[in-house]
Amino acid sequence: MWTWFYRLASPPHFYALAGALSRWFLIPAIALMLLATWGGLFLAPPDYQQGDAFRIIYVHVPSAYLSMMIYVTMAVAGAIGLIWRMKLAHAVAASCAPIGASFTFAALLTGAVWGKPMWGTYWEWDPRLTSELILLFLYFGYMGLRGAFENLAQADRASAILAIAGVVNVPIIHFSVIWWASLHQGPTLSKLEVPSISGDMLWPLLVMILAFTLFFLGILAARVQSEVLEREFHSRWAQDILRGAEADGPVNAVSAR
Amino acid sequence: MSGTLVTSPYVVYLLVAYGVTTLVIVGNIVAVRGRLRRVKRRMQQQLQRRSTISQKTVTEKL
Repeated sequence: MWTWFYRLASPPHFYALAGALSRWFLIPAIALMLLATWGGLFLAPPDYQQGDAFRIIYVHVPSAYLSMMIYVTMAVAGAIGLIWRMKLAHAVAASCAPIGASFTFAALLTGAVWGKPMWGTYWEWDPRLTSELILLFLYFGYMGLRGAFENLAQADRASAILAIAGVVNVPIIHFSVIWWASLHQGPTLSKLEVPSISGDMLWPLLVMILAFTLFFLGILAARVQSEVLEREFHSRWAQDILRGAEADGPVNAVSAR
Repeated sequence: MSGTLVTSPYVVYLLVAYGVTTLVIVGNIVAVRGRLRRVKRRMQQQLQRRSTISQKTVTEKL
């Protein structure tokens, strides 16, 4: 098992694997998204209180879940990079940030659009909304901090520390609706008892969450590929790949490997 | 959309929410493909520049 782990951490091995992984994850992700959208928009019955507005749940909840899951992935990768000095872990952490920021933005925007018809306002300084906004700022701060350093090793170290420190915000987002009085509804899926949502409404949500997770993994694999190539430019294997790409055409050769 | 959804008072909110999410998904795909392309092009240019410089050095030495 450790041999497999060490092989996975080797940049040339991971580079080749990431290209294939990206396709394996992205194609089923898009297919599942279409299925869940169809189920959520046309098969699930309207909510007895919220009517059709509840259908925003199928894009809002998976986006919010991804925003937190990606941050935890980024912090864990940063910690692995700091402790074991694994360059690939830092590449994973750096690649997580823009994806996480985009889904946090989607979660905030879809939440605002859902809030207007339900609460009468797009925005409220509610604990859940505010902590999610802080998460978006943490992503921006992480990317800004990385960009501020000329030296890659220093950027990796400083941004990993920020990611680890900021991870405290994730349980705050999750439990904010339990700890404080909030406009936002309580947990629907992650309760210890049976989820408080009917089966016809639940399956498209679960499929969409799976689809978003696969999508994240696919995009992450592709992003790590370019990050690794950039970092390993001076190594022989990266230059061989680039020379091969040059011979076969400027861009397509590496993706065809 | 089905007839009931089109006539629903919430159709605009649904369109905005699903539209924003679609943009984020498509944007991620476009961004990641563009980044890989840019990185490869930049690296190839650096490699070419290096080989030109080393060729010049060899010619000058000769």
